[in-house]
Amino acid sequence: MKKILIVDDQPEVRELVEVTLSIGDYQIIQASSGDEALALARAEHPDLVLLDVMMPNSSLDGFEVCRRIKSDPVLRNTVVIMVTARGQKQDLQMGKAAGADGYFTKPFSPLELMSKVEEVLGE
Amino acid sequence: MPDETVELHSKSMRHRAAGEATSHLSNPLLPARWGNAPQQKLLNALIKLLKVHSSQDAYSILCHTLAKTGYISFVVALEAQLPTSGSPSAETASCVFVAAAVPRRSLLRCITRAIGRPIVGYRAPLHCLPLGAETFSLGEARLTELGSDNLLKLFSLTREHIPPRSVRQMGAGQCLTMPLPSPETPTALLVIGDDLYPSDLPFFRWLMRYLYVVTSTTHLVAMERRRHAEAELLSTLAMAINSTRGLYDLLDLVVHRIRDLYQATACSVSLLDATGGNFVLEATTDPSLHTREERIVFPAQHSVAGHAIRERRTLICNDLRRVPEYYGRLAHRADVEQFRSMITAPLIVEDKPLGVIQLLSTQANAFSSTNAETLTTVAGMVASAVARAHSYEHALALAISERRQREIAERLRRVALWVNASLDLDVVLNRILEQLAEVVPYDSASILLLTDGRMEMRAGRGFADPDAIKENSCRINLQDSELFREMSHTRLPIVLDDVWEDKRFILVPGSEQIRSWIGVPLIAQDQVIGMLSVDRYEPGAYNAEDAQTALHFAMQAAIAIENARLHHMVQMRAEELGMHVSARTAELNRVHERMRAVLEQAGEAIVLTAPDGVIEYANPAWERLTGLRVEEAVRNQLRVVSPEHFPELFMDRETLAQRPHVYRRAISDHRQDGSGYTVEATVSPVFVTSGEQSELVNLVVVYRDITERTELERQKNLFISTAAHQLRTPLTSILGFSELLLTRSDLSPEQQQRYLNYIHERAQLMCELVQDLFDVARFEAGARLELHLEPLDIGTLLDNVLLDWQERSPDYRFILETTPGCPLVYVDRARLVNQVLYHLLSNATQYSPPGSTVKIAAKPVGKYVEVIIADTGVGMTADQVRNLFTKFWRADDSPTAVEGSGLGLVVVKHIVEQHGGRIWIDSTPGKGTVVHFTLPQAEPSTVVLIVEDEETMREFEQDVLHTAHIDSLLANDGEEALRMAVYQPDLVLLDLMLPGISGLEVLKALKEDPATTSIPVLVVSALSSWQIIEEVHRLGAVDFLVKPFSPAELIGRVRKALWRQRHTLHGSVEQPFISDGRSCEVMG
Repeated sequence: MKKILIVDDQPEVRELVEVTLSIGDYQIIQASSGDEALALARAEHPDLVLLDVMMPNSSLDGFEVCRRIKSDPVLRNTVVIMVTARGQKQDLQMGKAAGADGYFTKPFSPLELMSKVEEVLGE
Repeated sequence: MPDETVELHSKSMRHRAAGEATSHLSNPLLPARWGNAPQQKLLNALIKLLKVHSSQDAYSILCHTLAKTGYISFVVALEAQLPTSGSPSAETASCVFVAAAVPRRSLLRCITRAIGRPIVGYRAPLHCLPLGAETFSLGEARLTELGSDNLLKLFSLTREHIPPRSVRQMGAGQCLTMPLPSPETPTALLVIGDDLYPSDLPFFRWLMRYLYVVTSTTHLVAMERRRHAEAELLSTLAMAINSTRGLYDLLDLVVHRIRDLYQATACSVSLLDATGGNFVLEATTDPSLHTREERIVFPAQHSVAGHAIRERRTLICNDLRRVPEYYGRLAHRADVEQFRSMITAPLIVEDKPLGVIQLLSTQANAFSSTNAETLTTVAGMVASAVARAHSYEHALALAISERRQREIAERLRRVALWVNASLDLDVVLNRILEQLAEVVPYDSASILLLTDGRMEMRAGRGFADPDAIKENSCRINLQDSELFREMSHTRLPIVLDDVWEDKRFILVPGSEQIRSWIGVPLIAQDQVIGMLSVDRYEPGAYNAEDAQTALHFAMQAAIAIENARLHHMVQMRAEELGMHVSARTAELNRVHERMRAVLEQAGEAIVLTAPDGVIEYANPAWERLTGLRVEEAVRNQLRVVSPEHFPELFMDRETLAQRPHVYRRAISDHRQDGSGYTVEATVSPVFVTSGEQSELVNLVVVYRDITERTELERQKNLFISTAAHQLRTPLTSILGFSELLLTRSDLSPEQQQRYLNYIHERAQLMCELVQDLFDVARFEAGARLELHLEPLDIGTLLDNVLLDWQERSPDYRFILETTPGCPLVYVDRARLVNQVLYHLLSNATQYSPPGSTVKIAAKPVGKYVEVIIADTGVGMTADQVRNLFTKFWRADDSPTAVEGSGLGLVVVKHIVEQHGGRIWIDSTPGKGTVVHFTLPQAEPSTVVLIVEDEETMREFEQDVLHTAHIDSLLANDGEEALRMAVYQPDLVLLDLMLPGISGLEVLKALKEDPATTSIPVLVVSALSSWQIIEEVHRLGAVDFLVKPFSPAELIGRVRKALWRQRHTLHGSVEQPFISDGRSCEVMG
């Protein structure tokens, strides 16, 4: 079973993602802040991280979390997809620079997200 | 010798034969054909020749002798060449036949032969007989027209050639010409024609030589004799002349002497008069003529004398009866009739004829050519004498005239000087009249000028009553007088010998004494402008010369008048111009000043540049904008307009000229101090058009500072993007969950219900967000919020709100603390709940970790109720707090910045302030944030701020006021007092003795702060010195209460102060606190 880590400071969004993914056979873990996300990532070694960028409560923003995951030799292969309201070109570029493997802008279509996740994770 | 074969006449053949027969005569030269008789005759002649006294005689003998020997000959003397008037071929030489021995008909033939051309005819004036030609009865033959040039040629030829070549072949026949008296000095020609043989030549040559000798001798003798006689005469004359006799005496002497010398009957001298048309008999020996009263005058035209003058030669008339001209006019006079011969010699000096001297005789043929010659010489002398005498007199006259002229000139010069020096016309005119008097004496004189068509006397001299004359002259229309009109027409002066006799003259009353008069027109610029009048009381005083002199003075007067007029004109014009110029200059200055003022005062930066964009001028506003100085910029040739910003201005000029345009760009730049600015630069090219050419001369740039506008635009854009961004979050839920609901069949009913709720809530949230956006947009546009105010109990309201929130956010704890008995607030419920409390509570929860507590409190303070919301969240730095309200959206959009609170807080701020309240925030990073805001009480009670450091006193005052239903705020010291004063108490009860800031300072501060200045201050103090009381009142306190005081006193004073405040000019009702729009303070 694949493990997916959902990171968003808003519970509603987490719930949305979770419900979206519930159709598949995945283990879902949630984090509400960047620090929590990093800690969980290191602990659980998820296969995929769905990562929000804007997390005012935490000291780490999504980009930083991505960078850290990607630079961690253990977690390097974790797929990171940014799910964020920030959809400017420079945001995409920053995401790319941070090493993200994908980018979804809110509001997103759950179906699309689902198919993307399947594509990335499952064969 | 074959060349000498000549055709011979029969006569000559006979002669030849005879000659050759008798060839052995004494002289081998003599032509053989001559017979003895001719030879002898010749010899006799030759001998006779030696005795002759004159060459004429010699020529006569010669001719006669030659005739007897069978030759036709004549001697021709060439006279001086005189142009004969009237003849088209100007030059005619007149030749006089000196001697001839030919029959008339033969003469013609001879002449023809000699000349080589036929003679048309010759005229022999009958009144003159050829000189010494006793044998020649034809009279003087004058060769005119054709032929004279040939004869001249003869003369010239003979001059050129030596005798051997004197044989000429001329015309049809031969003739021999020989110069007489010698080839060197030919004055006559001997022409021998007919029957000439070449063999005759030697004889003639010999004859010539002989003749030369003879004639020269005779010449010499004759000359000698003449000279002698002449010399004698001349010396006599010279003596006479030198004895300085007058002309007439001299002439008298001359005529007598000459008469005696020539043994004539009479001698006279007649001189030409001034016109040269008549001779006047000046001196004569004839007593009958001499004693006449009248002088005898005869015309030069038709008289012998005139003839002599015209022809410049001495004439002999041997028989006056044959000379009609002589008798002409004087035919009736018997005394003239007696004369039969006359010699007339012209008196000519330097080609100027003076007259004639005439010798007369009662006998015919009394005079010979010799006499004529002598007379001619004498005439020359006499002429000189006369001329000299004349010239002396002439010189005398001239000298007199000259002196006079000089005098006149001098006067005129002086006048001219005055005319040029003085522009006072009347003075000058008077001077002119003064000077005129010296050269043309007068009894009175005046200068009249035409003014407006009337003649007016402008200057006058010599009048007894000049004013009367002036007046009178005005009254009479002198300009219409005949005299003046004539003068104007001819432009010449008029002289009247006696005005009494001339009807044209108009006498001006007062000037009746005038008899002689000169009137001179004054002419300037070819127009008659007036008249000079010169008057004398005797008739006939003036002549043409005086008129001429007066004319010169008149000219000067005209110049003076013209000068004065011109000067006046020029002056007027100059004044006009001057005024015009100064008016223009003043106007230009005004315009210039105005322009300058406009530029200097303009708020917008204006720059003038050269066509290449380099600065030439800038106004002060530009200096303020850029932080640069114009002088420096100009010196450094700062380029203000660059091709980078305005490429169109630097392309080819023709295109630019064709579409003159205004170019506008936004340009950002930095000042030297680093501050940036954005301007909208408008560049206008300035063209100068001359004819068809347009030339770019300047660029004008106007800058509008759009820094703020740009910044606002930027912020607006950011705001919009932020707002749009914010909407995404609830949209995520709405779209996401709705999609799930639509596409997933595996959802439980609870999930479905839940998700529907989410969708609903988020939609509602979006609604609020949109409402916020609206409100914010309208706030910024300046619109005021619509508030539906009602009195509410804040406690109840908060209670309800918090219940709601608790339900919705179970993760958080909400605690409410209200003061019991909190007065009602006057608020817009919906806005308070849905916007103010909503945003504040959202922020509180958003920035606090779950499980934390949010505390809400409400308490009355002054006229307000203060609501306090405290969380224990992340908190904010002072900068962040400041930014919350100074910019209504955050300047940075970093991910970790506060999101969303910007918009909401702005809305809250607006609403609170629209209510009349204030909002401020205390925050500590890491600890939490406390938001305060005040709402107005519905029924605000009177509140007094008690400033008293002593507790008992404070309490006392509070209690006392309470009994009067007056609420109080308390402040311990000055600083607190100032803090509390913003709650707008109705009155401040101020103790002077305070720790820290003194009461006076508090008072001062309260009065200086516009927010609190209108709050009445009642000062309380134990001190009561006059100075303090004065000072307190000066600082603006309304009353002074001295401690100790009774409660009644306190209440009374307070009430009085409150009453007075209520009933001030500004109205009687207190207004709730209206925000001044300042940002709220940061406390803490």
